[in-house]
Amino acid sequence: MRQRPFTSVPRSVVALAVLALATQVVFAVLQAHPQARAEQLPAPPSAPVLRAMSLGDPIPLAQLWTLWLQAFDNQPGISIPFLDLDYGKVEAWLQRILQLDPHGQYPLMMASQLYAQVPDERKQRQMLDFVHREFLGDPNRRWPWMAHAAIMARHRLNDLPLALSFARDLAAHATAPNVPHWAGQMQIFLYEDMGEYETARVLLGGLLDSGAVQDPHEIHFLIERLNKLKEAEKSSQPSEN
Amino acid sequence: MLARSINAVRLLSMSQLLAPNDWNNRAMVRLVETLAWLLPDLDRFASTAWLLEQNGSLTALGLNGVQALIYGSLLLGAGLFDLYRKNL
Repeated sequence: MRQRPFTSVPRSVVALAVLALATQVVFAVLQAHPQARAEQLPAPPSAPVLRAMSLGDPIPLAQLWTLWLQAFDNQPGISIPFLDLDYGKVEAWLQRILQLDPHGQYPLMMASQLYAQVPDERKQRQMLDFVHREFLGDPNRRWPWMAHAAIMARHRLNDLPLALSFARDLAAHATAPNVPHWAGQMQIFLYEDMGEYETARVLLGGLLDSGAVQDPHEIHFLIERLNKLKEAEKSSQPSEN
Repeated sequence: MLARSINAVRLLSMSQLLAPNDWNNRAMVRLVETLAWLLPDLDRFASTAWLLEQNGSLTALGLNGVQALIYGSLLLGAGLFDLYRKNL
């Protein structure tokens, strides 16, 4: 159906439409420009509430909350450093997400590789402690994050006793066949770093004698380290003269 | 929906993460700004915070009234324009 020409529209109607459009543009320009405001991270709902929200299928909800938490630093028009987040709430969220999906690894990855990288030692330690606690809940599945936490404690925090306690728990609890030998051997090299050559030598000798290590290259490497430990132990002992 | 979320889209388009000096992004910011001028600012209407935090004000209500009047007139003008051109 063809439309009538523009001339059939009364001028008053055209004037109304043009005037209203112009007023709308002027009104919009005069309005205050929207300001980006950083929202604070809220505390997570309780576990029963989250379970109810999941409608009986907690894994998708856990994934959604994970994405939301990970992107929380990036809000419309503003970016918040991880350092400025309330780590008590971050930890609570990570814990809730793990409760929803205990097999999920991502919250522990976020804790050890995102939130533990901020330049604040207290917050780094808080995240490493969180990883340690959660590792103990399922060590054979969560060992990679514990190993990462031990390395962070050793090289980032320069806290050898903490790194050693993590590595000892790693060796004691992560004992499934899928856990590589190096994870259990970390404590030996940490003892070496601490100058406790005798303990390191005993542990390494015990490991070799147990026959747990089968790979010839790995055995060769460990024997070399054992010999170096023996030399270091001899040179560290006071002379009998 | 767009009228309610246009301010969030404006903030997103101006994010520092989007290389603000890139001409593509500058063009996008202009486009979003122009769109925002043509839409009513509906996210200022019927905010739940008015009920929960009781932070509504007569000024905000007056501005919303003016916005409703202007946009109502615009819709009326556009509707009449369209109606007069129809061959009924």
